[in-house]
Amino acid sequence: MSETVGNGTAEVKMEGISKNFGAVKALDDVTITLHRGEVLGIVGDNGAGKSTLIKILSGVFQPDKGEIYFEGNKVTFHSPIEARKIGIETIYQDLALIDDLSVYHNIFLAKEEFLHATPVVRFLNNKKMETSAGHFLQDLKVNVPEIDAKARVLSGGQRQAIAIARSVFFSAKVLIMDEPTAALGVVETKRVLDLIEELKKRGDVSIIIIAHNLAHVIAVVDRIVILTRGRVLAERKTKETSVDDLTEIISKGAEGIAA
Amino acid sequence: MREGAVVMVTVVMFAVFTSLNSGFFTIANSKTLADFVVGNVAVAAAQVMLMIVGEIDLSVGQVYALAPYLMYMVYQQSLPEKHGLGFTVAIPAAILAAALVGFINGVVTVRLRVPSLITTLGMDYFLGGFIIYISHGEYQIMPKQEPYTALFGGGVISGIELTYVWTAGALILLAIVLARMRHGIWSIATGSNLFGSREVGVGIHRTKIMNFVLASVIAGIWGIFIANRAYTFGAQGVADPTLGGDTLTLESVAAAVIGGTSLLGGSGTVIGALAGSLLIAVLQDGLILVGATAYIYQTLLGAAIILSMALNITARKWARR
Repeated sequence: MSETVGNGTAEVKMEGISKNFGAVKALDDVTITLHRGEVLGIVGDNGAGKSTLIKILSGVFQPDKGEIYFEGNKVTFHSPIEARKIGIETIYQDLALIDDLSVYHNIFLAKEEFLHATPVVRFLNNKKMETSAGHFLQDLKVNVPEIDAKARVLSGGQRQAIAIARSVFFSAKVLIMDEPTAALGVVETKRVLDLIEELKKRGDVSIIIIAHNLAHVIAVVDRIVILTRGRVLAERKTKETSVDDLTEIISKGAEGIAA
Repeated sequence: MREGAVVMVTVVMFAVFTSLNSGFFTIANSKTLADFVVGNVAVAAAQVMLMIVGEIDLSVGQVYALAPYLMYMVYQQSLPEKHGLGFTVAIPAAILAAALVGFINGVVTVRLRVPSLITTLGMDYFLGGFIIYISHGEYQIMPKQEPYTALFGGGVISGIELTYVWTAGALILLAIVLARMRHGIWSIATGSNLFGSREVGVGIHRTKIMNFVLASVIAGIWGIFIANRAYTFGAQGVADPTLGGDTLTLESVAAAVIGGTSLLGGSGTVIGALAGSLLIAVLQDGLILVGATAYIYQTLLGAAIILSMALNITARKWARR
């Protein structure tokens, strides 16, 4: 086993995970570890099993075989709600924000702050939400036109950044990002990667990034796991590898299994 | 601001009718306009709340007719002189019945996933038949029992009908709910992005059902207000089974749509409902004063509905760029 990254403690360990859909083996005895404070990239072609793996971690699917450990304890999720409750958040790209609400209402949606005036009829503390959302986004160096602007006017990268910031604000411990930079332009991609970089500096959240574009994620991930046809093909620390290396591993691996 | 356009159109129509007929811009006629608005604007505002969550209620007009009639019937069974009750139970019973209708509309729509257009269309027919069945199509004199009669539509305070006060209060309350309460934010979120809202933990079903109940309760209460209205000028109020009905339903939808509310959900304002209701009133009243036929009114109102919806959708498209 290679030496640890992050601070060395396993935040999440998925061990011996297998999942079949009918006759299709989507995952076959996959084991991955996410260390605390680490950014882990999971790459692979379409059909490699990336999405199935993270859907198991986020509670959407249940594995046929294998175990999930969260901070050392064995956990089972029957729904995404259960996973979110213990701090595993998934950033959904299309579903993330409410177009007709302001940025700060989006951040505080379903976790609103109230004025203390009355216990029965509660009024929103819009001012407080606006201020703390503003400060928080500033801390994370996330730029938005106006904190009270409707989400509709935001760019793709801004939306993604705010969805990520929202999870972190409410103390998610593990963030799962499925193709966070897909469909984003260069500037917008940088916006999202900068935010991930910022979160890494703070070190209180561990991140899994699913991607098939290596060039984008290699800049921010600490370690890369390569999946091919439902198996872990290789695992590399970013410092010790390059895009060319990884591309070669992927193409060779695909041939090897096909042969 | 989308309501800006409606307000401007209303002002222009005001000017046109004023120039055509000197009787239009008078205190007496303002009262006519206000009477019309007060009859439906609260229901229109409640309809806006439903449209914000992406739903609609086509049964509000029948609830508006049903509630006063139920109130009359319960009163007859619990006479104050005999049982010491009367409106003490009749009014809560009528409002509860209205709430139940809204609750059924909501649960059927949300749980059984019947589109609200169908749920409430069915409810509209069902209640329409039910009212005629229990009333034999005949109206009844609404009994008078103070302070209830005065509080529920029959009262006047320093020259102003109490119904005006309640209506203004209801509009302000709904505007506050939309801007300052969780239910308002959740309503917008639910209508704007249903699955995204559920994903972050918004109670989308609860929010929708609450708005169905709200629409029915408001329709029921304002039905009672209008049934008692004749007491404000010394005549007797009536529980009329043909009060409200589909005319009121369509007026509430028209006012909401003209006021910039989108059927697609996510947006809508109380001010819009007020502007829409006022525009309908000006159109109807103005055309009567200049001697046009009722058909012209219908034709123009129809055009106004389509035009405002088209403007609304175009405005959304532009806003998205």
